[in-house]
Amino acid sequence: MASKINRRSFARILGAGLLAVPTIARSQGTSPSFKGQTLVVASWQNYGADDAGTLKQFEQLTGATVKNVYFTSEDDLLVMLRQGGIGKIDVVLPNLEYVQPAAVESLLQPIDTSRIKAWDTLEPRFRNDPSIRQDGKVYAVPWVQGATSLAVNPDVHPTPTSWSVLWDPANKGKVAFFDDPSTAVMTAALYLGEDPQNPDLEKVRAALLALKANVKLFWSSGDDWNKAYTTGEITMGNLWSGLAGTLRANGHQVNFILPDDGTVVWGDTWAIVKNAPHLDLAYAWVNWLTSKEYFVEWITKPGPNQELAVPVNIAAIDALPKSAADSLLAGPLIEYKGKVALQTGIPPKQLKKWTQMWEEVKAS
Amino acid sequence: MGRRLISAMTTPVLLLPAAGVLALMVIIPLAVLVWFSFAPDGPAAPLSFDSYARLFGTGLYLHLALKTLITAGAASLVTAALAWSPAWVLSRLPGRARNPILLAIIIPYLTSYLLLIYSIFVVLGPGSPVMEFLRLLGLAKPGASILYSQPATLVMLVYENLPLMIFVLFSGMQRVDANFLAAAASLGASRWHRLRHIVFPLASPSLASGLIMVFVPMGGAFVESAILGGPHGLLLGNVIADQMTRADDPSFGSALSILLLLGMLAITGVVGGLRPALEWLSAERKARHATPA
Repeated sequence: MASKINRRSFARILGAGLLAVPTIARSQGTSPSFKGQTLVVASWQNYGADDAGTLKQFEQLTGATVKNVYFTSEDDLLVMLRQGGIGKIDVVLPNLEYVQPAAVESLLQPIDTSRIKAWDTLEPRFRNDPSIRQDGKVYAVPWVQGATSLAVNPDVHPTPTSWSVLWDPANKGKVAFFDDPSTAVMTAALYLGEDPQNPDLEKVRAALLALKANVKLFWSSGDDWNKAYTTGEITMGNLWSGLAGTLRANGHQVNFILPDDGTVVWGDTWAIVKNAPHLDLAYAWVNWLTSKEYFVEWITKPGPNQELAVPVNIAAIDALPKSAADSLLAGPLIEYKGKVALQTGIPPKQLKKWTQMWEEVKAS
Repeated sequence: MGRRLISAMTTPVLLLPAAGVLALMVIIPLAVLVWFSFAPDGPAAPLSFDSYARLFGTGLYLHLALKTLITAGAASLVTAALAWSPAWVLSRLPGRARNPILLAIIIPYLTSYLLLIYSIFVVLGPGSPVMEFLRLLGLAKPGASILYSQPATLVMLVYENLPLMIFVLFSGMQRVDANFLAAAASLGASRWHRLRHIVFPLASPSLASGLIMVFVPMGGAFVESAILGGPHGLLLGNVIADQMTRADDPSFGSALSILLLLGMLAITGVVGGLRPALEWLSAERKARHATPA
């Protein structure tokens, strides 16, 4: 049979092969035909989107280059989009809580979920979350998640199983608490046994004022926490799971606990900006960042100072080596059977009330 | 005729750029601030007093404003007290010896205040030389620190503003003629009398302007208290910053800013008016002394 391949048929096969390469590549959302294009990505610094190794792979897959721009808070991201970002920035990384506000202001464009390959393997509690939707359309693809849960110094405290340890008068002046209205309200609600999405705000206020007597520091960055924890100024508090992992990786003893009375879970998502200049490339980006290949690479071989988080894509978690999944505390989070207060879906008016209440607690 | 017109017009024309900058940088933003404070539902909605009702509806913010002004006032006075002697010594030094010292003093003032704040962590943290010293004196428990407390904010504010205060006092004290002091000494005036009757009156204008110059930024400070102040050390500036950013309530933030502005205006007015009042008092007394009994 092989002898039957003459020069002409060889050329035909070769031609078919050449035609097939871009077709296959395109079907994987990774067409190299994006050569010369530059995708503008707005995200937090040192957080996946600017990981040198995975960026290089994306650039090889697509032929495009990536320009990272950074925001320093979620509000900063909204301001960035309102003030000239539309038409320049392609993809952004809003927290779940900020997807709807951005969609309502028409800062984002609807996403065709049939073009998102990992869509069906995303954890259902995120995929079905109403807060990524507006008027029946999907505006964001959930990317990573984490818990803002109880962290304690094991030398000072054994393993507490309830948030009530933060309120224990014995721990006066030893507590760090995240300076964020919805985390504060939800944590207090879990402690009180109230519905974290809709608690009795006066009870929550009283609980937070009582907590304040124990608090040494309202933290707002990982740096705040690390400084106070490593010098022994604080011995417990609520903390992002990713930061707990980083502390451990740096040789500090810290126990990260998902308490029996519930925990607070957040999610970050990828969204495509309205009038994105490189729409197809933006889809290629979201597909790459949510793929298991990406997560395995990013989480097992992160660049310096990268802050890791647990994938929302279950297939990606399954593909991770056990040690990597453990250091991220992925297993306990996915298998956690307690009450999960998902930080999302709070109507803006209610969130405003929470914010006011939290400001008053801090000012008291 | 034409020349007279030109000379009459020179001053107003030359003042125009300054007036323009003043309008652009001070008057318009201030007007916007006032307007925002009356527009809690956005610029399109009708004006209302809601933000002020919320502000005065609880004693919380007035209390915080008072605490802020007291903190800034106390920090200003401490700064002045610490700056007085170095400024005086500097003003008596010959230029050659003085300039390197002046340069050394100004270095922290030229350093980013964020860097200064983080360096204070090392100075005041547990086990630091300062805390060890306090521990030896029996004033602090082992492992204790004053980080995350109101005093830490005060220390920081003083540290940041000390160079400015030294400079302002120094420039005033430089003008104190050494001959006055020599003359007073030869007539038997003690050190205290010379300070009380010569140095202090001559340096008091620069003391007043120094106090005002450090008090104003201290009153609006919020980064220092956010990082060092702990949960009970927040100042009004922190609440204002939060309202402008996370809480997304520029109207309430503006109302709080106006409260702070009025408080600071009142205090700087009092400090600025202090000197004329003192002068008037001493003139009165002199007049009484001069009148033969």
